[in-house]
Amino acid sequence: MNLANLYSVSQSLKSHIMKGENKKHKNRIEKTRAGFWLSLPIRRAVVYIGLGLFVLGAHYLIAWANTIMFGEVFSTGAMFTAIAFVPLFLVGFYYLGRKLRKTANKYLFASMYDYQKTLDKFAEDVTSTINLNEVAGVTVRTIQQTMQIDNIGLFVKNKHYEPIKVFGFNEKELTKMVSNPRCRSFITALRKPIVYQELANSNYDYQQPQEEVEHARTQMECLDVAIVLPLITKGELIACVIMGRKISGDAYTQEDMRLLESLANRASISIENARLYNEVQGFNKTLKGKVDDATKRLRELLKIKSDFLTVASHQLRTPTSIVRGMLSLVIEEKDLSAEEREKFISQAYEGVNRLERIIHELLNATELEGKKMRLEFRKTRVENILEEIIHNLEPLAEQIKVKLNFNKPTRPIPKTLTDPVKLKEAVTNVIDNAIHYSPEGKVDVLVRRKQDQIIVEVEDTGIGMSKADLRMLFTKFSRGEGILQIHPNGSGLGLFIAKKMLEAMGGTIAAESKGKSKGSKFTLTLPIK
Amino acid sequence: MVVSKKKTILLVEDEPSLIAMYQAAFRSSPYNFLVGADATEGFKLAQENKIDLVLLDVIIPEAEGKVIEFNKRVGFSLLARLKKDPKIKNVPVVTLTNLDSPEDRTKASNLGAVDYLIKANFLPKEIVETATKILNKK
Repeated sequence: MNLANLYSVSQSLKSHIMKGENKKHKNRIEKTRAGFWLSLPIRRAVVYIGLGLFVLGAHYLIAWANTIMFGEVFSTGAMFTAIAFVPLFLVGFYYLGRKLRKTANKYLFASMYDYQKTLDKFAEDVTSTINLNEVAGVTVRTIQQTMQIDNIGLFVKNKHYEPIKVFGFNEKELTKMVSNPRCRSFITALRKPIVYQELANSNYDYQQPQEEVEHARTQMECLDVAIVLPLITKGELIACVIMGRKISGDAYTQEDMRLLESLANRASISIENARLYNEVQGFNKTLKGKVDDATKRLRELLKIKSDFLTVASHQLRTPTSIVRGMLSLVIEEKDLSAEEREKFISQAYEGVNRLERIIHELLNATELEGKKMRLEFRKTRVENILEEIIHNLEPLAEQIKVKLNFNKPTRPIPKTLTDPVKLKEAVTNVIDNAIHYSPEGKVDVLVRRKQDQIIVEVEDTGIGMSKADLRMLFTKFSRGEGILQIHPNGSGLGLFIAKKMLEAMGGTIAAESKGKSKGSKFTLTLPIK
Repeated sequence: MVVSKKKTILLVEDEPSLIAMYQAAFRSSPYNFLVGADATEGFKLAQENKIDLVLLDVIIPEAEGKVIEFNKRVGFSLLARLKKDPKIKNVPVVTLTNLDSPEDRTKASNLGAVDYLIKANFLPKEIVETATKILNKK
């Protein structure tokens, strides 16, 4: 075999191996990954050795033929004949190389993926969906197929790293490792893949403290992690892929690393999109929920308002119809007795009073809303006010057969600074209410001192309240479901007014009831000042 | 000439002043005038007497001593009960109330009330006139 032959063979061999590879890129990788231990792939050894044997065989074949034909190898004729064999040799070399590569690929379990095809296919799959789970699925599947690995996990970074897809690895253990603060910060600071072999050989600079690198290495060793691949967009780490060893036991090659980095770049864009989409969707959902809630509340308010208007207009019209009707009778009915005439006029007068009271309550309630109440404080004895109220309400109680009891305190309660007029109105509203809702029942009023507070309790045996009613009780216009029960003289605002007034005086009002038709108890407090 | 028997009107109303007012207004009319102060009494009177016209309030108590519940519209349940009773169902019922919502008007008409009068808008004598008109039509 002549030298020219050998030279051309070696060139061809080199170019064959370098075929399709970007030299510049390769140089960069080799430079940045000096000492990168990716064990000599068996498949490549097979190709090299196979082609070497072919060259050797061809050399001996030509030498043998030359000896037979020319008696020696180095005669001029022999050399020219050898040159004539070159094209044949090259064709054989090319086809054998291809065949060997295929065979090695098939039987030695190392995928010789088509770099561009894999990326194209991945791009196509990954852009066909916006679902985070599917994007993660495609990424994991592509890596598994091209790298021929079983163990893989994809984590997306929110506050922590959340596992999206995990195969082969123990998900719990892996998640624990990834969420371990030291590992988390190690991964978060990553800008390129961590390769276990690189850490093991401690010949690569991760720009992190040595003990952190060592910690990461031990962790990876524990779970048999070969590579941690960071997915980065806009300079931020958004996800990472944890990969186990190849099924074949081969190390990852430089081509593998390049493909993984390219896949990581594309996957990170898709994952970021999916994440943003999820976020927007979540935001939309929250917003929709909020709008629904607000709409529901507005509907409720509208219903409450319309109920209130129904009640208010009815309550205003009733005395109006009495006044109007009575007076029309007095004027037009000729055969009324003097007694009747007088009775009707007094009833008309009572009707006007009732009307005035309802109007006063309506205006009061409207005014109390949002405005600061004007109070005139005076030293007041609360017991006396209560006695006065009880005295005023006794005729009403008698009329609807309610037993009205006032339990005076055994020891006198000190005077307090309060507005007696407002206090009287507030407490009257509460007791009046209790009487009206307890026909033929009993209302007990009690006053006592508790430390620096005066407590007034109004307990009745009346209709009681449901829990929903209790919640709505003191709000304007919001007489809950059952609270639309209204006594004939009321505006339905009495309790709302009482609450506002008591609160303005530094007091409180609370109601309790064991339920419908089980009576109610109102507790009023007033500070002793 | 045969004098026709006196017709009977039943008023179901709980407000004492209004009862006194309508009683006075109907005194000079040629009708018997009965009053039920709650739904139970009203139904009882309707069953026990031959009634020709019912004037029905809507916000009334269920029975004596019961609290008036606004959202219950006890008058409407009484109307439904009257319309189910074979003896009473053909007696015309006029709703006489101070409620004035379209829903209440529809409800009354669906239940078979022949008229819907707002108390505040009609003087007692106008109620007598309406009652007379309805009774004469019959």
